[in-house]
Amino acid sequence: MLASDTGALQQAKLVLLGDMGAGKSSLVLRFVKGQFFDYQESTIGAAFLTKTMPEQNVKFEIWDTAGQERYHSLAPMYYRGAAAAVIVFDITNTESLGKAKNWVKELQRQGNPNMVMALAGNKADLADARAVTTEEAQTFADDNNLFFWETSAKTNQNVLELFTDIAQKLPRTSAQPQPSNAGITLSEPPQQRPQKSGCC
Amino acid sequence: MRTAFQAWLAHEHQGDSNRISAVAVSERGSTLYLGLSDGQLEEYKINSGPDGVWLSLEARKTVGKQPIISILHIAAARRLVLLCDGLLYILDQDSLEGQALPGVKGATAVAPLEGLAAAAHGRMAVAMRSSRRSVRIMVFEVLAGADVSTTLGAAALCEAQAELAEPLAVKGMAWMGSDLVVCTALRAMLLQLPAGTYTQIFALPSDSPSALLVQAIPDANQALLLVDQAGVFVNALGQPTGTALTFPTAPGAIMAAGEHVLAACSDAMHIYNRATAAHVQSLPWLEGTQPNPGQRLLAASDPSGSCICLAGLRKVWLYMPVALEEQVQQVLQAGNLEQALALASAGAANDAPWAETAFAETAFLLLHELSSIRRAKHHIAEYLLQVRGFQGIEALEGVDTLAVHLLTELGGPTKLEALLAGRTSVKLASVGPLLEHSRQWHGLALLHSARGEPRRALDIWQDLAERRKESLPASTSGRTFEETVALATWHSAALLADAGAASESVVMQYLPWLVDSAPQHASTLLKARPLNVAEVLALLRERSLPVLCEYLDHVVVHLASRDPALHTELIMQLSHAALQLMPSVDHSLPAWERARLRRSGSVDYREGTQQSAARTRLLAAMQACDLWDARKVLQLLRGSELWQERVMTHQKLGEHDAALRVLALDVGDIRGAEAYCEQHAGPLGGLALLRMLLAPGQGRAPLYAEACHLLASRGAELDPQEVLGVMGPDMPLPVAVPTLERMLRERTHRTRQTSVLKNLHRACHLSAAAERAELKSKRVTVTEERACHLCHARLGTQVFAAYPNGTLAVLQVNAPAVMAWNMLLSLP
Repeated sequence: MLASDTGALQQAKLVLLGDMGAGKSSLVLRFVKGQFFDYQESTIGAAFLTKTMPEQNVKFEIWDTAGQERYHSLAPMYYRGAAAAVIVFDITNTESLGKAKNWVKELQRQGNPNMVMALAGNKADLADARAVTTEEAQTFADDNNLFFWETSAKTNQNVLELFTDIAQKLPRTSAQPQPSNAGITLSEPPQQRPQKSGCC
Repeated sequence: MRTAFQAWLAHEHQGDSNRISAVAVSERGSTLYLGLSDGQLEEYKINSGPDGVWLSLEARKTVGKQPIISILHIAAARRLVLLCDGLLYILDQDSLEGQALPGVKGATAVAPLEGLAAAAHGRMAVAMRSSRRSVRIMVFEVLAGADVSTTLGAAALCEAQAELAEPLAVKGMAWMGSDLVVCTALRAMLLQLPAGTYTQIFALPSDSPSALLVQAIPDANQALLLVDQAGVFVNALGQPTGTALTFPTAPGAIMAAGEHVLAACSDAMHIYNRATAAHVQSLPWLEGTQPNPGQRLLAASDPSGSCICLAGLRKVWLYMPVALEEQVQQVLQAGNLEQALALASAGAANDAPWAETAFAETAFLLLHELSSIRRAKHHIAEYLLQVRGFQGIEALEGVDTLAVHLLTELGGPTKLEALLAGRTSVKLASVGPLLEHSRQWHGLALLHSARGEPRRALDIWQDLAERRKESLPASTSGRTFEETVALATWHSAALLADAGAASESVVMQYLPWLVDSAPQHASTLLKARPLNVAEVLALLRERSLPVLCEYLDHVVVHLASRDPALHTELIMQLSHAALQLMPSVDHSLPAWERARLRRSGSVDYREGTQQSAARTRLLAAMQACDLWDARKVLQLLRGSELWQERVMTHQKLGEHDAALRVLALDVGDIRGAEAYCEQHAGPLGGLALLRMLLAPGQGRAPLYAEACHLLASRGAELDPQEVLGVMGPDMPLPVAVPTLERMLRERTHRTRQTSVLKNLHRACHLSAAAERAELKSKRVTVTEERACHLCHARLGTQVFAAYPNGTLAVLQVNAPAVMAWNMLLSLP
């Protein structure tokens, strides 16, 4: 949720989505703690971290979701009400770009219409193993009104730039979706039918 | 790792025809209820002792013929609620008598209101299938005191109900305040009561390998949803609230107890901190008791979380939390101080009496650990200081910066200052604030100095010396304030003395402070580098006479200045300095009388060390310099007790009589006067001295003894006639007799000796004259036959020599032979 533009620190829910092994956790860890591990355990469920960018007057509440398919169904809970989403793919893996495209479609269909979306082509340091060209990803991003960065959590390439870009594009005054309305309403309230217990 | 819970295998069901299908624990954890697959309810008392925890059967009751799938203990109404065969049975807690609740059929799940509200309300939610595509959720208030053994009275009242379009049966529910999380095998929904609206939290795909589980967290108003290996906390808005719990395998059951969540996984019971999602403890299953993979387990706990029950088909485990106080002791023994502090804080939040003690114990161990850390830091710093000198070392900036940080933290300034004074690679911007904050002012000044910023360094040292900056306490630095000032001024002087480090303008800016604070260092500085003499002298004349004298001495003596004004100023300033140190004298007595009294010891006169040093310097300067204006100096010294200096000044002016007068009459130093005569004044001076002694003037009686001493020592050099003339008629004859007698005797002896010598010389002269006459009278006759005695050649017309013995030899022909012959002849 964003604060109004009164100068107070704005809080923004941000969700990272993408295929397993694309580097979502590494990207967040690099951004939040400046750390990188060659071996990063798979995320189970989701991890929650915060990061304040004073120069942007934004406090990100970051949900780093699990990339495994079996936790896909939890994702709506995390991107519901999010002000921004980063869809991460691995530039050495074409399948991960396909998964990223699916995420973009899902967000466009079910997510917050004002959500700021970024496409991140991670593992840019592995240029020799590149399987997705920059042009391909850029074209997809342009077609879907995403902004695109090629990043490397390992070398810290464009990590800060990515999140700074998001922070600068956040709508400062727009009303954010209220969490209480964020769920999918499944039914109208039924008529209350108090029923006295006991014999009929 | 700590021991947050202890576990016991408390019961093993023995029946072959049935199995455990439901569990519940009473409000205070004293009673355990087991529901069995054949519809029986068993009530056990939970016993505990030194040997562990065990169950003892208290009652058994057959409720139905189908498995009891859920048991609730409604403490507020003292009722048990059993879900069996789709019916909801409400039994009296004590008698276990009761009936099925009318109007409830096809119930699949039941959930009690928990937490604080449960103490006042026996509320529960019941889920039942209402059609093939919908389920109904009903909320009942279980009534206390109602007769539950008959169907005549109402045992519970329905407060609200809602229909959910959901084809699957509800498997679990959890209250979150007034709202309810409803879970089927594949979907989690949030039902808002009493409005009856509901929203989907999430839905699993139909091929999901594991079903959803839900556990209420009543004290946080949250629910924990178990999805495969993840435990997701959601709030009353259906939003996730934090990092998900991550389990090693999909748990068969989850429980909440206080701050902890327990997850029964295939390898062990894992315990997590609810707030941080951190793993706290693992309690492995005993051999042969581990559940089968994927087996659904049954779990229940009392509202306070003091007794947690986990049941499989036959076995029952009980888990009980270890008191926080004991946990603190455990983690303290394990050296986990951070966790000990966290636990102590939790205890303090609950006003636990042991919390203060735990804090103190933790603090003590922390201090001990800090001491160890400090030692470790010391060793690291030593290592860094060692390796930074190695050739080819990389990241020297990092090494040096870390060393500065460590040494600053360790406090002792010596090594830090030694590091900063040398060539370091630290960035001033990174360590400057640290040094300022830790009041390592001297080290910071050294760093500025080493970095070619003399003014910043000197400003710091000046501020330190003048107490404008607070220096480190002596307990830390090992220096008193005076020592700090000495250090600051020494380093300032050393910096200013280095022409490559500080320009002349910098020197002139800080010289006044240095002259005032440390005159000796200022003198050293002024001697160390060439400066504008006129500017320095102008500055020093206003501030410090000792430093001025030192500097003039340096300029005149060592720099060999030929400026008479500087020579004169040096002697004048040294004279002023000496005069200032002279003691006061009694001017009522004449100078010679004062000198006499001093010599006789009647007046205590001892020259002080400073006075002696000043006079020594003055005398040395008078001897070393030659261009000083003696007349001007004499004007200053006139009438003073600086006798030697006055004599030297008179001597420089050629005023030997005046010098002798000072020595002989003012000081009474007759021997000094005699020595002066010998060195400078000669016989005339001796006569003048004699005159002075015989006629001292100023009403003084003639100094006959001194005059006689003079005549005795130097009388031989003096003309007796003049001496007699000087002596005059008033001189007492007896006094002069010995001297005159000696003079006359000497004169007579000298006359006789001269006469003897004269006659001896005359005799020698006569002898020589006689010999000459004899030789002149000799002749040689040369004939034709006369030949050279050596070569035997005829002499003819050749030049020849005639020897006294009459031998003749040709000179030109055989000069060497002649010489040899001549030598022969000269032999005796």
